Amino acid sequence: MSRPESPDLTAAATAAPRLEPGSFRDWDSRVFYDDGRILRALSESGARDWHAVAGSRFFGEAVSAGQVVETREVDDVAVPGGVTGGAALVLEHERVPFVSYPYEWPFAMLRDAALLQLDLLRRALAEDLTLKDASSYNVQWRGAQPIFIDVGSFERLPEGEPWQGYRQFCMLFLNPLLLQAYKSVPFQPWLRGSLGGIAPGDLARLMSMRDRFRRGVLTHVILHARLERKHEESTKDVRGELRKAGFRKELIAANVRRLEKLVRSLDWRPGGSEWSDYGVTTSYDEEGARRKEAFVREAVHSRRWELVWDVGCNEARFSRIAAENARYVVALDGDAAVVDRAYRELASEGRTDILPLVADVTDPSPALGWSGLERQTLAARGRPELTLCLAVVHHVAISGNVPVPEFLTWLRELGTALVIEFPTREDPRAAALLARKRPGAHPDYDREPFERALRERFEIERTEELAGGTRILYFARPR
Amino acid sequence: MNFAYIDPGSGSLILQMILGGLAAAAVFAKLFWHRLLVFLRIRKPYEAERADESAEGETPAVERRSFERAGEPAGKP
Repeated sequence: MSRPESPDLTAAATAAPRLEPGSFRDWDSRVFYDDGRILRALSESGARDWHAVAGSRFFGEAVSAGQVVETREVDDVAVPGGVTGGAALVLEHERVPFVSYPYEWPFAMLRDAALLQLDLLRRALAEDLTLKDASSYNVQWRGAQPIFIDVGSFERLPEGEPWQGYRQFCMLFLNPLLLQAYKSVPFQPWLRGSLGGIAPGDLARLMSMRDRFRRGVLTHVILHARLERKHEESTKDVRGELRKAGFRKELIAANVRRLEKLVRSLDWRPGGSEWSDYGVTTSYDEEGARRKEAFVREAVHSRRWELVWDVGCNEARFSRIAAENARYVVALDGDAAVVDRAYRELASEGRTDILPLVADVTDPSPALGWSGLERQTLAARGRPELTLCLAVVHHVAISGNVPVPEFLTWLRELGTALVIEFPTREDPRAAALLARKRPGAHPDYDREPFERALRERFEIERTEELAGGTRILYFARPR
Repeated sequence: MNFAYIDPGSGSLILQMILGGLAAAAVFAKLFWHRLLVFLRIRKPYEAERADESAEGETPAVERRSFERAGEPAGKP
């Protein structure tokens, strides 16, 4: 498997060692940065767990297969203050090319991430190890390949205890998948609004009588919610009692196997998503499509790019062209259905250089969590050097009501070069969007004001008119 | 005792015991059923042995049945 070298794309790369603000919950394991390196301070207990994990067979195999980040022990760094659990040992991890969050993943990505989590747990159990949690934020991506990043989650198996991460697995993996698979409700807005995930009780209230007989619902949702309610106030030592009752790791393993089968059986197909049958070619004849591709390719090959964003990526056709001469491409689209489809294709091709994400540029991911620092904005995780905005301006300006100059200012502030397509008012798709508004709406949406606003912020290098002059392509660099 | 840094939830822990019990009950039920068939001479012991093996290996069919069966009574309001 090809693997990008440790890149230095995120704002995390700073000179002084500093703590990762989102890594404070587990006091045995704390992530920090030093000079762009990703490091993890382990407590005494955390170090003992690491030694057990590092010596296991499955761990080496999972790292070689690209399922877990490459990790090594280091002793050449100073640990910053504020590491509560102490630092008996420091680990260095490989950097993932671009950090993303579950509320930016389409259904198939969350499902594959869940399967990776369960696969690692099942293999760990065979060697008397376990995962102490099950946060979907512990899975990241190398293109369309999931990779587990929280090596600090592995620990020695406490004998006779159930899986501590089961509830978290339900809230952050299983329940969002069930919500979308059985109710066709997208999980992304809920996960964005609740970093802890979807509680069993909340999902239980959404399940109809018919849903209760669907696979997995009665046990993992309904019964789970009921037990949770019943034992809410319990101060009993449940774990001690279960151990006495003879709980064994085989029971965890059996549950994990059943969860794997359940997750594999879940699927979601979009029903009449607005863009799902929308191909880039529909706005162009064959000759126009060829010229558009040639224009994008020429811009892409004008220099080497570290990071490219493809805004409104649709089927990720132009992301693939960008990847010809970029180290990493983040393909963004607000329509979860097209991103899901793009992901499935990229995953089947084994691509590790294009990351598809559900992201609406008119409402991009905000900073979230404790202190507003746990989860970062999209731009804070890596600014693009080149951004493709193909067949997107009319959606942003007319459907999203974002004034064109403000959209261009946002792009200018990213510091990115630009390949941008402007469909004029006569373009059938722009006209269709305008027809939904009152007559005379968006008077400023036209070629002349667009070019003026673009020129104020960018140096236009090249222009090409397509589709009989109703679509204009620009290649521009920031001023 | 090894305490988790996240609250595993008492209900969630108990549910895992129940799920384990359901799986064990399903395997036991399958074994019992085959022994009964052998006793009634409906099935030959050879088949029963094979069933024993597959029950120990936890075939998907057994597990799926255990879910559905366990689900019915609790699903009624």
